[in-house]
Amino acid sequence: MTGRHWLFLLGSIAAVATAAVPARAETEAQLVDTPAKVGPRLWEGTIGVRTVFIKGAAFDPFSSGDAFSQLSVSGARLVVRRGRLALVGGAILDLGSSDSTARGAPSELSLTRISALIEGRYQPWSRLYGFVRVAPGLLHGSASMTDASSPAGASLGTSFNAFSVDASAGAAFRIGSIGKTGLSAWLTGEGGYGWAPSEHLLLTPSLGTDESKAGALDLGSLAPAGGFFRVAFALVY
Amino acid sequence: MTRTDCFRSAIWTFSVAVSLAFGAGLGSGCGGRSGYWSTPVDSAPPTFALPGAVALLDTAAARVVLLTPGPNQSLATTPIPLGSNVLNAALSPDGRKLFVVSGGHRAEIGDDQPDEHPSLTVIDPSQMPPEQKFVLTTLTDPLAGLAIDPAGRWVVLYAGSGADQPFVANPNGLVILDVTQPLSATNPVSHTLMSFGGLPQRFTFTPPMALPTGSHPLLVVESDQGLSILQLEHPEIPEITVPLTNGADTQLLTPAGIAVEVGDAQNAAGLGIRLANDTDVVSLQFVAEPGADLTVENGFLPTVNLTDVGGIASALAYVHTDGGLRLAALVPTKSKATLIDPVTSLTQDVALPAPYQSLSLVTDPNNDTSATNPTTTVDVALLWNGATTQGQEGAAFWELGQTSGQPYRSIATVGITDVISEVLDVPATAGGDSLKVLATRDTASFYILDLTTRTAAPLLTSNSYIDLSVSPAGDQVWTYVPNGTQVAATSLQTKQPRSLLIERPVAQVFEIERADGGRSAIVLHDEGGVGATVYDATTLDDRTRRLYAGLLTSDRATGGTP
Repeated sequence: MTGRHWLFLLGSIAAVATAAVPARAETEAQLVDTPAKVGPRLWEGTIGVRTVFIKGAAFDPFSSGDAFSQLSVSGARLVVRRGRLALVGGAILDLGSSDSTARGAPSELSLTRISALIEGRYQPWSRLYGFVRVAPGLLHGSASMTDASSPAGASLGTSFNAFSVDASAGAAFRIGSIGKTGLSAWLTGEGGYGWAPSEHLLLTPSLGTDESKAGALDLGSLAPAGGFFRVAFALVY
Repeated sequence: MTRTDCFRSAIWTFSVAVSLAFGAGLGSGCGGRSGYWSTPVDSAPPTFALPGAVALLDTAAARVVLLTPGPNQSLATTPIPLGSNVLNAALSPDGRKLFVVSGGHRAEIGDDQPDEHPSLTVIDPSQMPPEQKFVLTTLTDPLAGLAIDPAGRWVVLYAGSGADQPFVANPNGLVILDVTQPLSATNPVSHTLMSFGGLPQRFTFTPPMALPTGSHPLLVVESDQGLSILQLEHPEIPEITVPLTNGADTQLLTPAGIAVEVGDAQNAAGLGIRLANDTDVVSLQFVAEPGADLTVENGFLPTVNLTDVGGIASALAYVHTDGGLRLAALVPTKSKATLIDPVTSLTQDVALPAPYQSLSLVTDPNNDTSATNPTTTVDVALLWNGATTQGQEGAAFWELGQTSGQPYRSIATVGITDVISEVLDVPATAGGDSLKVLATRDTASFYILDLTTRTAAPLLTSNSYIDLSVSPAGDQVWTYVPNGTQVAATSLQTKQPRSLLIERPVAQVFEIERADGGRSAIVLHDEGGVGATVYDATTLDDRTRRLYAGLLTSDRATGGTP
């Protein structure tokens, strides 16, 4: 799934939410105002888009721009709360791919990252809180290119695994509660820097036992790191 | 709608706006990539064999990529940037340098690409760095025509054809550049040939010729109406123009090719010219111009002799015979050759058994051992293209050591019954330079001609559409089917062919000498981003071959580690 697909998904979520506004006027609002208090709010699930700017030249074969967008899904639980401060722990899964053509050859880069989430929050108002987050994780990447000159017409590819860490800060805005289910809808936005070590992209065909007969297509060192933004829709229970 | 509803609507609208803004702004990718990656690789990029490397001309990306084979069938790639708008590329006749002409770029208002003058890039893999770029600031309009001195010293740029050429062009305007010298006010030199309406057709760079003023190389320009002779070392001196007429009428004669005699202690330097529309052959010799100021004048003049050979000459060469230096003209319409004494213009006809159209000196200056006087230096010529249909003998040796006594005995036919399309030289080996490879036209065969034994060994192929190339070591000939997957190397000594195992369609085959002294065979596949199969050219072991893909895809140099 490409960045455009994530964009479509996010847009769909937003559109559904927007469509709910006039419906609410007709059938009694499902989202209702709640008093301004800091609730217990133990569990949280989010879905959104994480977009990282990869500036390295080795990303150029896989994208016409510097942005790499991923679907971002996370689950978290309140660990401890002290007044307006809270500590939250959880996990984030970011997965996405970018496809393009490199000198006419179809190319694709996919990055999947699973991270632990450690987040500190300050909630001055029931509708709003700010947070700082650290998310160390594991990154799996794969790059491929389909070139007609490849032996046996096979795709050229490589994959790698690496440690990664995100450091970010952001804010969340409570949209409202969903009926009397105890669920509330939030919109979160954050920005930060995602780090991962450089990986040398040497693309080779999959030739099994004849792997040694093939030379590699050297696309240079890709550092899947850079400043990023994440926009997500959250349900909090 | 209550205030709360309005507030919520505003929040939702804000949310959607933020989402779409992030998605659209970030997803589309702030910051674009280099245009390089959006430029597809040309479908059949021109390729050139250089010493130690194969050069791929990546016109779309304005660069040359050198493929340098290493041990264990490794292949290093070295991109060399060129000027924008590549117009033409050619190897020097000695095959040691690649010359690439770029037209540059004229920036329009608001153009992101800056102005760039036309340029010439000379690539010599034996040098470090391998490229030398000459920015031709004196040119405003690009010139696509390119002629190169066999020694790789002088380059002539002239108006070519194609869409990138100027709206108005001077076909007689030449830009002469000495690439061994830095650019200066006198290098390059722009020179317009005196024209009586003719257009240049061919350029010939002569070796240094024994002229009355000393030894000097000349540039001979054949136009459709005459000849111009220019001193390469002094292109600022006006050229000598030789308009060609036969003296009998006003018809302008069109040169069809020239032969060059550089001259020595025994023979004067001269030029022979065969004509496309007349039965005459023209010979020029040079005499001193007394009192000439050599700073502004050539100091020599040509004397012109016309000799009627009875038919249109199809080939011309200066040959050393037992009777002395002669200008040999093949006249296929009369099935004869005519030997012309360049001094006296006396002629001697030699009847030929077939209407041979082409002539190659195959033992120049080797002695013909059958010469009537073995102490003199005489030539042996190979006559070919004597048959236009299969089944006739199409080649013969012409032993020029027997021309004055019994010229009819000087022809020895070779039992080749195919139409020969090309004679390939074989580099000299330790065993001598006695071999030639004869390519045939549209027939499933080729021949290895042994000049010593006068034998022609046929090699048969399963496909009549074949290309041939001879190894630089002179020990094997490569045969392949363009766009097929059949490649074979045939030993020129044992005549034993060995086939290669090739998976992708073949564009060209090159044998390259490696820096470690070994030799590699590079079989290029011009699909996609261009691939290659690399063999050790000596062992031709399938098990150690290596395959490479996307050689023009990456923008980086690679070390070629195995």
